[in-house]
Amino acid sequence: MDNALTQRLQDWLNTEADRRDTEQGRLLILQLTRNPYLAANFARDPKRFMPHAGYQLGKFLKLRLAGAEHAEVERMTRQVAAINKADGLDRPLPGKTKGKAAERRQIAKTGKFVKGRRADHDRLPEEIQALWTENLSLVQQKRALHAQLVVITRQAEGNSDYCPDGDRYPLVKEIIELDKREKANWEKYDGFMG
Amino acid sequence: MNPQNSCSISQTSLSWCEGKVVTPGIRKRLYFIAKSDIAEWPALPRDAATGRPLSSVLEGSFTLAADKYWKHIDILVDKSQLTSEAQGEYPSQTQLNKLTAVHPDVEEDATIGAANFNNTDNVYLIPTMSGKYRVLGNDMYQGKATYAQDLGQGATGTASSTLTVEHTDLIPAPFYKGDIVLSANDGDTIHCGPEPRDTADDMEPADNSNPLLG
Repeated sequence: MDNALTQRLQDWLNTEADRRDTEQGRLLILQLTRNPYLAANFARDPKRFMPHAGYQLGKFLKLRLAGAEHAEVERMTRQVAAINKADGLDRPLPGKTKGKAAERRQIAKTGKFVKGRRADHDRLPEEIQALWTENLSLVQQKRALHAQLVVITRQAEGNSDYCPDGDRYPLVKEIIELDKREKANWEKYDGFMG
Repeated sequence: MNPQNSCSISQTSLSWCEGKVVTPGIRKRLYFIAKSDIAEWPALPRDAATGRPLSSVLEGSFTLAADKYWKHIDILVDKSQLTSEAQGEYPSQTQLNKLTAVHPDVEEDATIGAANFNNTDNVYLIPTMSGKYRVLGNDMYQGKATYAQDLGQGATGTASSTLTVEHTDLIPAPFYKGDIVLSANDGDTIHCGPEPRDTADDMEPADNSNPLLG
């Protein structure tokens, strides 16, 4: 979709009716409605046809914005799918399935090997240690959001009237932001040289 | 005064410089789009009183409908050509412009390519060897396109798909100096007009004083 055209349309409609550029409006009518008669009438008597032109073009703006949102959500959903593939957000946590959560906590406390945890973890400054702790929480949040996303996807599969873009958007946005923060934390944590 | 007596015909001389090279042939990539996807046409300058064309260069650019872009077809330059011949009787003489474009492929894409041309009234932009673009098609007359495919005969035969287009116009295929928009990306537009004039002639008079020399 031509985003520049959508922007041009939005700018034109956002301008007060009596200050809108007639030639620009005529072109937009031609390009979007493909109705040469409306375009000619509008060019001949813009004041009279402005409300009708505004109404017609407004319908196209609504459709185009919805289309743009759909494309954006699709793009972000693909990004989340890649995160899911890398991090296994939909896979059960090993500790949970084996009932070893307490054991995992114990390992973390005693400094024995834990995935992602540095051997010198306890000797690191507190703020660096906090990054590791925070990441545990970020992963949990990502998993919870991803579970909601899966529910929405399943609902959408069975209902063709339901457009899930609006519900998906905040979830995928949050997952991507959490993922970026988690990666940045790992970078700081792993790269800390003391 | 009787208006019939007031009409005048503007005519121009045809000069040619001895030695000027006229490069024949067309280049290998043509562009096309359905007329229904054209929102506004560039205009052929015409005399208001007589309708007689005044220039062979179209004024303006094609404005395409929303989210529509020019498509291309690659051709064999040695087997493709653009011609124009006179048709009709006085006082309704026009030009019949004809394009023969040989596409070298006969596989899946080249085969479904027929659907681009059959039963569709298109406009074609044809680049010439001199780097200009000629237009086949206008908003007055309907064009006729046929698409033939030949898989060749035996081991030494030649396979190809051939597009033939006929379109009536007032003059041989007019020149186009507007834009060819190939996608929504800014970089995907061909500007057919002359290069921006940034030669020395157009610049501010140069300051010849050398600051190093005082």
